[in-house]
Amino acid sequence: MQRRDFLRAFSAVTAAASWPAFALSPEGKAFDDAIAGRPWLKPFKGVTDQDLRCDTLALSGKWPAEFRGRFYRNGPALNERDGQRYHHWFAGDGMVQQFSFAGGTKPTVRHIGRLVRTPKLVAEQQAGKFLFNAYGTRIESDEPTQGPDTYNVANTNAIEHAGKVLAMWEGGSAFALSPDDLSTLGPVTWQEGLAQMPFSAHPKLDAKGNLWNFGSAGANLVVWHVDPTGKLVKAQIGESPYPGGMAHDAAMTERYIVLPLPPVKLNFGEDVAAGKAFVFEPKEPLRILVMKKDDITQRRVFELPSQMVFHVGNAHERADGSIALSFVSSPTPEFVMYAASMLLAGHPASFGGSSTQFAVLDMRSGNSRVEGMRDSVEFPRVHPMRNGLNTRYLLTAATWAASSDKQQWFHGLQLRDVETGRTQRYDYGLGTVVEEHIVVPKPGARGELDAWLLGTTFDTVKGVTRVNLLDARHIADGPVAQATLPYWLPYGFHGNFTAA
Amino acid sequence: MKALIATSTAALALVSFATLAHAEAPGGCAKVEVQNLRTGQGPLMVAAYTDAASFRKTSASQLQLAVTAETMTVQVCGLTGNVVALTLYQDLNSNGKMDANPFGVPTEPWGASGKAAPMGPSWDSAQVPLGAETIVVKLSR
Repeated sequence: MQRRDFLRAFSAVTAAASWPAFALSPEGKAFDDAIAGRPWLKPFKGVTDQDLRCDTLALSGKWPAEFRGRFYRNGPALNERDGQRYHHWFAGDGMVQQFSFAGGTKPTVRHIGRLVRTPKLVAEQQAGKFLFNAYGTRIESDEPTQGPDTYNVANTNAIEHAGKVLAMWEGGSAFALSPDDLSTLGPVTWQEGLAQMPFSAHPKLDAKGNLWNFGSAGANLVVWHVDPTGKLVKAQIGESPYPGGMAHDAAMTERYIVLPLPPVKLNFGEDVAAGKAFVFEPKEPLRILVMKKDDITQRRVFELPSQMVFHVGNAHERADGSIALSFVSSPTPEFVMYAASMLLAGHPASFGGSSTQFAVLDMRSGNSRVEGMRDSVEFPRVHPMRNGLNTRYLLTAATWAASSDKQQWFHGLQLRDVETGRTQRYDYGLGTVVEEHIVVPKPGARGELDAWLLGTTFDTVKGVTRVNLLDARHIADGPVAQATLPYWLPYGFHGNFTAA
Repeated sequence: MKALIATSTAALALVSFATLAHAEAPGGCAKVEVQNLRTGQGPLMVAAYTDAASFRKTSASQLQLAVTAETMTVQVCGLTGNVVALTLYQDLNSNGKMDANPFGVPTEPWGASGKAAPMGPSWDSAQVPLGAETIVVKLSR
């Protein structure tokens, strides 16, 4: 969908004084009624408290013998309790999905899906109702709050590091889970005195296994460096140049952390239905905060035209001292402010309008330039061993359907060659909703395309979720192998693979 | 997730809890039921304020009490006026201050009178009528 169409579609929505999705009813029954005839919306229904397990997924294609490991994904999953339904896609309690690939001559694929046993989930299970405010959703309650981990839903990303699975959110601690059975071990306090500190959902692993991350709250920033054994090397405390602004994902280079700060603020505890959950400041720029990894007080703030950014692709330092950054942005934050609420209420809304961007940030002059691509993508990923290095290929979920009313979500994959500008695509078809795909290096190989592409899709016809494996060199050929669950999973956000 | 708990929560830690005198003080008293206490750990600290200007700056009355039960009822006296706002914490490590992380989020159990205030109490959220009715405060877990 073209950007113009996307904006036009939204202008009709935002013109209404009250939010139409909730004018019907926020409750679960209304969702079920709303999605009649639109099966692609079904995974927004979410799960119950029941964990999921399937020991033998139905396999097709040729699963490579050497493809062994664990694929984790995370996303908001439990959206309803006691008849009450959240008002935003990002609100639900996190469920980590683990797909285990046995490899060998008789490959098997096993799935476990478990809700993260956060203090919030446990308390609400015991109470039989929601007790705490959630993203875009106000819950009336007199329950006391210690800090963000009281209402942390651990629902955004999952990565195995130093023998533990980290289930991450944006506002509080990561939660550690066992890789064996996804049982919850508890919130991770990296060092005494640092409980309740935000550990954001997009840490970056360098080639040696160091984990770099940031967290932000109000005017405060923290930058984390965790070594390959899971020990904290350093937590640096700083200040945001845009206090209260959303900070979702950062890139890292050899020497720098590169953090986009779009001009939108979340008022946690306020409800989207009351129109107070977000503040968008369109006259403010997109700030890119670049901090030295070993001393975050050495920093530079670049100001780019106002736009919304969730995700970075990658960043690297160029020979002339500038930083090249790839990211995905949309002209406004309307997806997070409106569309993500419509979807959870069972009403169609587009993910479109976000496109690939390439910025060059001149560290000496403070000048920047940015070039936008004509595509409609999200969930950018690169080769996992090349974080912070020059990468030639950028993988995204993508849509290029001609008419927005035929396809509301991503239906394909796009692999962009950054050097030539050429893109290769694979279209799963209009009956399939495509989620994030990641790059998985082939064992012993180092080339960017000596890799598989791994990701989930929702088959809207059969109502099931599938795991797909593609060869990065032959993306247009589609999956070389697929594993199909006998059930569907809630739409998730992000994931990572650990080779076995 | 921004502005979680105002950095001013650190002000709680600055309050001095030197005095144990409470029942003897002049003025009105508030009867307070404190829930979610952790027995066998450090003392309960209570500060009471009677107006917005002094809230979390200068307490009208303060208490330090050994924790002997999960729920305890205490009297806070020396209060004037018709309203009171209470801030409480359990000083688990008995270091005389409410510990907080570098962002100012408390890392020891805390609570306040009045309405739930996930981002930290304000005078408006914490003030309650000062009268015969017991004020119930649940500490965070």
